Amino acid sequence: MSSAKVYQVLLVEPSPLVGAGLLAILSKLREMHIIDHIADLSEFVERRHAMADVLIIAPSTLSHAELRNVRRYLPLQAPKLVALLSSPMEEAHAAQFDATIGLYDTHEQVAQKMRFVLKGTPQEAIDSNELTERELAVLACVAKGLTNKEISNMLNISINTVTTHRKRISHKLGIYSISGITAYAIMNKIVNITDL
Amino acid sequence: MPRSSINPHTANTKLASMVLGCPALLSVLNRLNIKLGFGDTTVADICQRYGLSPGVFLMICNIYTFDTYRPNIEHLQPNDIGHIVAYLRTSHRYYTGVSFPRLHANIHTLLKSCDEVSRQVLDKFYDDYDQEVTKHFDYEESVVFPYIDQLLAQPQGTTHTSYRIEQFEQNHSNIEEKLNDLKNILLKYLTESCSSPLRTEVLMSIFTLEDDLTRHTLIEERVLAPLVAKLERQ
Repeated sequence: MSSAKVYQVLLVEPSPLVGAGLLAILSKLREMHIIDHIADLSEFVERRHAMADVLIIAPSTLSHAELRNVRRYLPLQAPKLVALLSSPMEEAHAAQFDATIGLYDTHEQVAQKMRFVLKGTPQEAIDSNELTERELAVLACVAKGLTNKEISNMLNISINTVTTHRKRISHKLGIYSISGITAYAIMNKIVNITDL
Repeated sequence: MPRSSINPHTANTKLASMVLGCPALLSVLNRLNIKLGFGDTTVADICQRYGLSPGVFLMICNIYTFDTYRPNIEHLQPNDIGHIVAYLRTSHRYYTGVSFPRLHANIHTLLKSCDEVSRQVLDKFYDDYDQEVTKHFDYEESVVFPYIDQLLAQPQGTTHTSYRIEQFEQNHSNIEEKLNDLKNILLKYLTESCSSPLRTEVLMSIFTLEDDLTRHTLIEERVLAPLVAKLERQ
């Protein structure tokens, strides 16, 4: 395909030197677009960073407990996860990543690993932005001004599930504020303006 | 396209080449009252001429130019804080006096050509947002900046207020979020029938303003706040 998909990459690496080095290599790869380079996840901004397809992260920025179940801890649902290693990592931890990049990897090795990671990326995981029925129901509740607890009672799902739905909705629509969600819901006739 | 900051600008960089590489800097120069027609003047010379701190000016320009640039506050001096606050104040005046009123007027005109429901909903969305923006800037202008002024005037912990910059860091509201939402609504969800050349124009101005505000926030949160916190500890 000539109009191949460009993958959004977010880099989390505390060392400016290492970060800049990796970015220099990645910037030569045409199929990748660097969204940002942040030092650690405290600098994560949902609106700017959550659309990353690939997250390259230095495990040193995560605690041991977080590393045990890294995908659950991460604030984004990047389909692909790459560890940028400056020291060896426990095997069980490493198994959760799609690839690992080491400080002594060559340009070619980095490029090869990244291409390998992208090759296995299912397109639909990235492209499908349609809201599910459940998400539509949650969306209507949010637009009506219900709290997470009220939504959880009404739809008979846990508060945790409500938050997950809300994150997915925002990510799919590109709308993060409650008033933005409300405007969307009314304009698309998901709720009636008189219901509010 | 994000620009990588492997070679950030230095005091020897020519102002013109900086602007040619990043047109958004035109607005920054305008806020700092730097007149165009500066030929091949370098950053160092322009700073001397306009009484600016080269460290602060370069940091601002690098933040606007390079998406991955991370300011290092170790390169700044305590007396640079005053320069940063002065810049942020002129930026606020620009946002509240020029950017937001212009956007508001254009959105209002654009919505006149839309269906009744969209017009109602988006008019309300923007009015609420406008109030939020006013509140956001008011807080910084009436609480945060005066506190910093006071701290600079009498350091060594002689300030009488119990306010600390930490409170600013914790409560700094995000005014770019709704702008992002509005951008998506106008781009993706407002019906096709509501189309006019103005829709494109409004969208372009939102992109510009959102990017500008993101960098402005970065200066406040990653440069100003940590510098002031450092001063508080002294």
